[in-house]
Amino acid sequence: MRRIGPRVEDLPDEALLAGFAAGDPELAAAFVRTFQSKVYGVARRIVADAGTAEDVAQSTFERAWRHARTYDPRRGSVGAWLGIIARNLAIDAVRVRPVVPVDATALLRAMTEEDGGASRPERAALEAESVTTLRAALRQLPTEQARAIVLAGIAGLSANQVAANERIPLGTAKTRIRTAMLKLRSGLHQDGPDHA
Amino acid sequence: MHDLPCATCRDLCPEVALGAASAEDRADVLAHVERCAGCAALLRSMTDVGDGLAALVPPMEPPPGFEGRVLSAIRERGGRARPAFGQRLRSRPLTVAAAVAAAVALAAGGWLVGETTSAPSSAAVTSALVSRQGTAGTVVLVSGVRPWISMTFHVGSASGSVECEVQDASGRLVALGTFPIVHGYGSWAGPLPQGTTVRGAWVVTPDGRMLAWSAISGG
Repeated sequence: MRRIGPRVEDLPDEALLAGFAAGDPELAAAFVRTFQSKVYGVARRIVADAGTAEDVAQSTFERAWRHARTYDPRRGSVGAWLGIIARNLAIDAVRVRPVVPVDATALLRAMTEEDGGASRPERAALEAESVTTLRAALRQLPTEQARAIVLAGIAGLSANQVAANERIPLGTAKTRIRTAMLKLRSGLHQDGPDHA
Repeated sequence: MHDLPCATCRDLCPEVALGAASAEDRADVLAHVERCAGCAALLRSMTDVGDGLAALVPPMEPPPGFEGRVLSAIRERGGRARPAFGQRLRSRPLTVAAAVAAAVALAAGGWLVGETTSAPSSAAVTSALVSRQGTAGTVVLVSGVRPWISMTFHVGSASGSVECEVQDASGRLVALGTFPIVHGYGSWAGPLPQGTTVRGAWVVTPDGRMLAWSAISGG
């Protein structure tokens, strides 16, 4: 029997997640297909090698499958939720390996380009408001502050490691991270009380 | 562990929110925010910023075959989980929600019993759940060999237990299961009796108060 009604790719993300968690083969495949580039993209930007990035991305989907009931749409989109899981798992992965220098310039450039996180046009529209606001706030930061916050928040470096990577004193690294965070938070807060 | 003053905690919140703090600083901050609502709110808002940064990372296509490897790995996890689940079934009484979850794990979706993703397709119908306050979630009905229903529900900020009821073509109300609501949000999925034509779905409190409903066409 052919699936009728909306194509699975057109179902809401929450419905895809529910089908993935419940074990519907078609919806599960659509769920992975929809979000795999997002999840792998986050993992690959944080860990150094492709094999570990794939392990992290796979673990992200396994964790989403086990904990689908904890997803809360008021905290963000399904894609954002998966991105957070991938980031946390990738940071865990790099923390157990020797620290390698991180190219903060390339990371920052990738994150401040347009349409960074959208996997298809309609999702771009849904995510546009908060993502665009945060991207604009990141662009407005002084470069040294933006580098510090993406090194800590995306590359998973500790304040000590940010200091070493940027060849600055620890106190300066902490100040840059803190100042950047306060500015980004302020930028999101102006977008509305839900983002405070 | 130290008892931090608020000023020190607020200085450390950015690093904790980004995952950049030392283990000791993180423990001190988390202990402090347990008893300080103001610092807890600050940490939460900064965590939102840290989480938002992940959304800015551009997508990248994974190596070929990634999708199949993910689905195979989860299918294997599901297969291994089943004996343990059976042991739990025998060792203690089931709640209704757990019984429904068991039915889903054992009956719904081919992959848990080793079928491939090319299993026969089924029909999916998506409808909005609405409450007096407006949109309150989504109901998805999937028919086919193993029909099932899922719903997500979000209204207000209360916590508790609610029941999913559906109305069949004859107008009969059928209670399918209960699920928890935490801070206003809950989700649930369960099997539908074979051959049921669903005309509506409700989210109902244990004392019978309807919180949200969905008129379903084509179910």
